[in-house]
Amino acid sequence: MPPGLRRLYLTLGCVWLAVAAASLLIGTTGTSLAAYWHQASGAADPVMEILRQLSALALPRLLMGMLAGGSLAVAGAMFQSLFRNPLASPYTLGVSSGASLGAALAIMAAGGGLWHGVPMVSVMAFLGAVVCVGIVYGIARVRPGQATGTLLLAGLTLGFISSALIVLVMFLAEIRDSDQILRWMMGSLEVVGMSPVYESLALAALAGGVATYLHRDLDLLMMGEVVAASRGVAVRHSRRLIYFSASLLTAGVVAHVGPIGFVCLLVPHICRALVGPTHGRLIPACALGGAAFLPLCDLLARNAMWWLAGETRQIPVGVLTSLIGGSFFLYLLLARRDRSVVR
Amino acid sequence: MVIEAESLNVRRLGRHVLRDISLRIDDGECVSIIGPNGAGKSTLMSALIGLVPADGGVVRIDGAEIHRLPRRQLARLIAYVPQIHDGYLGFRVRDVVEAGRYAHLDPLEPLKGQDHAAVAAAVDACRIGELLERAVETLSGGERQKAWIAAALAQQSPALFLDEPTNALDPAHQVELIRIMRDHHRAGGTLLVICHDLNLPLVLGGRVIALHRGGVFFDQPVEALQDTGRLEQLYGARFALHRGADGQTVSIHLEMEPS
Repeated sequence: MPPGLRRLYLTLGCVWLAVAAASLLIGTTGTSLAAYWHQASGAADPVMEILRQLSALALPRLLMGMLAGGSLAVAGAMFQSLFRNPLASPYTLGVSSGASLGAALAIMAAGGGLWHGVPMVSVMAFLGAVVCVGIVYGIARVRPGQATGTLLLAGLTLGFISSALIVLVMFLAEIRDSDQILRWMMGSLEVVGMSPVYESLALAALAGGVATYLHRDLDLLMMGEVVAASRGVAVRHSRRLIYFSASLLTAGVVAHVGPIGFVCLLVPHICRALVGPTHGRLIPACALGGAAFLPLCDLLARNAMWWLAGETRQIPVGVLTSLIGGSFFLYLLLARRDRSVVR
Repeated sequence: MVIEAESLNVRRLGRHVLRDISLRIDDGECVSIIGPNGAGKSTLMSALIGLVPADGGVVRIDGAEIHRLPRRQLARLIAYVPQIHDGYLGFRVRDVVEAGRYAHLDPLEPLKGQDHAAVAAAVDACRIGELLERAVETLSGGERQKAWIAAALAQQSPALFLDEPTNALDPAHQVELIRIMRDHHRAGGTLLVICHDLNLPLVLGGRVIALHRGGVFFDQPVEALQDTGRLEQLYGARFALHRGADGQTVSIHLEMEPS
């Protein structure tokens, strides 16, 4: 590994650790390690008491943020290479609208609670995303030849149809439910307990494994399909694997935290500028960068109102990622830049 | 390695692009494919490496039907440089050439000594040592073509297929590409080249396959090109033969009405 690259990974790692530490220490709206200490100092075993309090809420939230951020960034990089388009994302292909439709239906039908102990919103969101991905892929199979172009068009169209259906569901649902649907679609890292973290970790390991295993296939697919095939890539097979693993990864994340936007566009874009487009470097950089970016946004989002106005309300993290991500993306587009930092 | 096509037919978007083509390319041969636009040259080359499925007939490599061979194995037999390259977003020349080693590497295996040697040899053969760290987008047409050929050479396949490699290149780059092709052929490699410049087959030697409306018009040693009457039938344009001062070298020129 060239020294410049090693330094870059080290820096990314340090940023990631700093965000993680800050996230735990600063906590949410007034709670902090100092507050924990104050509360716990009366208990028999203060350290255990602090750990117990941290692991109840702050830790799952931090871990979920890291996993969701890393997963979304990696899935974004995979889709952008698959479609040879830096603006492609799992959301372009209707994954998020499918998930939102599933969640909306679950909230309207069951009020969003547990059903026989099953969190219906997450399950339905996951199913919605998977069904959407399946339909898009099915359409692309019916019209072979220009597979990637058809995938994009089918994904966009299905996204619009789902959005229309979501509006219809919100119109038919009661005010309280449609408000909950709206909140779900803003995205939130507020998870309860560790099971969402474990589920996301399993999917992230699966998709991360595929991306690592196929990193040369991703490189070659990005260089062009004909070139890839002539170099020895089983194009159809690799493309299917990449498409489905990235889609499942996104579906799993979105099912728990809602359709948090822009992470899958912004993080790969910055990482590509830092380490170059080859996926042996890009995929780990995206995983690290995403795992730092989303908890950072969450830290800001949940404390912004407290810091600015002394209010305990929290801004939805999806709003902030899109605000920060969108403005930064525009800046990147407008600023004349040298894309090669480590070259 | 022997590449054979037997009554090969290909249809694309409802058009019958290749009709009943039978040919055979022996180990170490140098073969040029000529013919007017739309005659099916590129499709034939794609079909011979299994990138386009046959709608009748069969392509065999050493007796094995091409669509039964895994792509990885095919890549170790034939390296291909297409006419048009799309989508190289930010890759450096080094990335592109190293990616040529794909068929020799396990998915998680880093480049080994022999891979670095193959990359270095390909870079050397194409003389692109100074371009290695440049992004492909920033190269000129000639440099880009050399980079893609280096990537194909790094594959170390016995056969090299080039689709119009000298198109749109300045004279100096054309000379360099001819040298690269000759080196590959002299080292015992098979060479299949699509070209519009009729002097390229004359320089490379070997055999010429002329395609016309999807069929083989003639398949003969390059000397057949000296029959300008047949070239006129093939292209619908008139050609004249010029002999060099030594009386040996021959070149073909398009005849045009003086203005």
